[in-house]
Amino acid sequence: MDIDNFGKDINRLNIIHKRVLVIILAIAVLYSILILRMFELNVIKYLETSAIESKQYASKSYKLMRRQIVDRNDQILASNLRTASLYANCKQIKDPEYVAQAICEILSNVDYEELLEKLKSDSSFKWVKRHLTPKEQQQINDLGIYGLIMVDDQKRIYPHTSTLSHVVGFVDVDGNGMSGIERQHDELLKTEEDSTPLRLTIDLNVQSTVRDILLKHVSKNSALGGAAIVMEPYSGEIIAMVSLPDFDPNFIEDNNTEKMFNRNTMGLYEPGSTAKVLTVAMALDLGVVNENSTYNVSHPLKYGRFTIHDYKGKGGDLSVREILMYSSNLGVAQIIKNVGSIKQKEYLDKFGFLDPLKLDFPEKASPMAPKRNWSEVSSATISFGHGIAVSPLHALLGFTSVINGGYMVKPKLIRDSLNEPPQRVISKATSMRMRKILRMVVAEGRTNKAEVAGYFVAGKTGTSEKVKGKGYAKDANIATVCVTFPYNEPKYVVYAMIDEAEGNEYNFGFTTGGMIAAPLASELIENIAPLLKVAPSSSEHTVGDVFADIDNKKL
Amino acid sequence: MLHKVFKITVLLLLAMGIIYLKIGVVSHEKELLSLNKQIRAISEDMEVLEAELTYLSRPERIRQIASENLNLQFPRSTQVSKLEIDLGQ
Repeated sequence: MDIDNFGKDINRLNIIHKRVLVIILAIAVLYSILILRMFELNVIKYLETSAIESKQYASKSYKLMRRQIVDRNDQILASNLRTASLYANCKQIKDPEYVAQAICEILSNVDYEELLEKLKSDSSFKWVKRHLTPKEQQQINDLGIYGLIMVDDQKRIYPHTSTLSHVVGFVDVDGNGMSGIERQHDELLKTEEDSTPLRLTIDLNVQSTVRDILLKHVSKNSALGGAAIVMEPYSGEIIAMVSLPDFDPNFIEDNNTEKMFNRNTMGLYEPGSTAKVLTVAMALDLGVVNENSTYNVSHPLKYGRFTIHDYKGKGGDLSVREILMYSSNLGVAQIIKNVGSIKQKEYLDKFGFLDPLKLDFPEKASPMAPKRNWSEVSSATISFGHGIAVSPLHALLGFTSVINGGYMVKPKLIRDSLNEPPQRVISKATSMRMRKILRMVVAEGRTNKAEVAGYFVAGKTGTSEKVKGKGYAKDANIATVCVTFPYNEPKYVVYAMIDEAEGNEYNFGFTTGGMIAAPLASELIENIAPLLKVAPSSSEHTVGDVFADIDNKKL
Repeated sequence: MLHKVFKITVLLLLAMGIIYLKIGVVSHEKELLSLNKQIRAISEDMEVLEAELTYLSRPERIRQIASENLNLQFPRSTQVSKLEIDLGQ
């Protein structure tokens, strides 16, 4: 009995052991699963999510749309701002009418009908508006409409609005350069390899001052527009370049093509009497005249059916120097006979008057000049700046090569671009002689309104009539001036032009270069010279000193 | 038996060490990510501030403020003179 019971107890114990073992195993398995799950959640998932997060950040990492553009003193001229743009997944829009209405109440410049048409389409991507303001973004988010999606975007901004519109240019909504530096250096500005700003030769302060003064003179003379350039005569660096009217590159849709026209590089104008500087320079350089050679300018010159007159002619015998001082058409027309049309063409070619501008800039015009052999009358009229049309920058470059020692420089807008070796146009001696003649033109000639006390300005004005229809318009003048200062050691050259001024009380009815462009040049020099750290000289300079200064100066 | 237990223990310790190292690397990566995010946020703020500064320091605005509030004007050429300083003295 006892043995039987003992056997039964053993069996029962075995069963209990087995059951306990099963329970322990089950618990162990459960714990193992729990531990493995904890390991998965805490370690594997952690590692995975971290890797995904890093990858997502890397793919979203912030890349500038375009490099900044700065002036020569690192003032920002063009930069980028992060914005957001809104698009619609039209397949997800349930009630297009309601959504279009709600969007139009928030976003400006969005047309209801146009938007409704987009929203009713079957497209999964339709732009609603690019570059929303933070307020607009918030209001759109507050609508909570399914199917309206905001994406990160960037907008090009121009903090100085119109001041540099023609130089810097602008980009389209996708950040592609459309004009000016933005277009010329589009690839360079888009590059991801270099994030340093693109530095221009422009000086923002000078640019802004020039624009303000030009704007004032254009307004006072009731003119259509104007242009002005300030350049270093030896390096060809353009310090300021203004064309009026101009536009705000931040709001392109509001502007028209007339405002976008850059007169300095695209405009073609007859240079008028400023071309006499080149005529006299080439004659002196060839040695066919000297500054004391005289010509009689009492009578008009006849070339077939054409007659050449002087404007307010001085009459009598004029020396070469006086021909420039009193701006005698008759005088230069006779000088050019001594030069000959072949040499004249050769020199004008060297002065850059027959070729497109050598400027890395997209908006450029090619000069207009008689193509084949120049007739005697063409040669005569071109000698005083008629019958040939060049851009203001052409005119300034030609003038510069006359006063900078005789070299044609390549104009530059990018500060760190390489200097090309300048080409010699006239001899150093001719250039020095021209400086003193041009100083006399301002000191005692008809460009006297360009004078600024202490800066010894040298230069020449010009007036030409605009071509309208089949002939010249008598009441539509282009008044220009090319000057340098100080004449004995030129630091800067300045070009200024007023397009189609109206005779009024301000200009006493005279819209010539001497009356309206020369005072503009004077005001420009007086205001920009201190900004450019050119101090006025306190010494008294007589006409005799002009010659002594040049003769003693080593260039 | 002891030899096996020793081998298993070493393997477990190695596995734990690798996991510990991996977690350390990921932790540093997270820190780096966080710093990069901060740099990006600050860069964006800087860009906005630079743009604001440039807009507010426009020469025409400064000129207007100088003229209207401080009664300043551009010097005429006759009002400018050169100072010569002898640094040797």
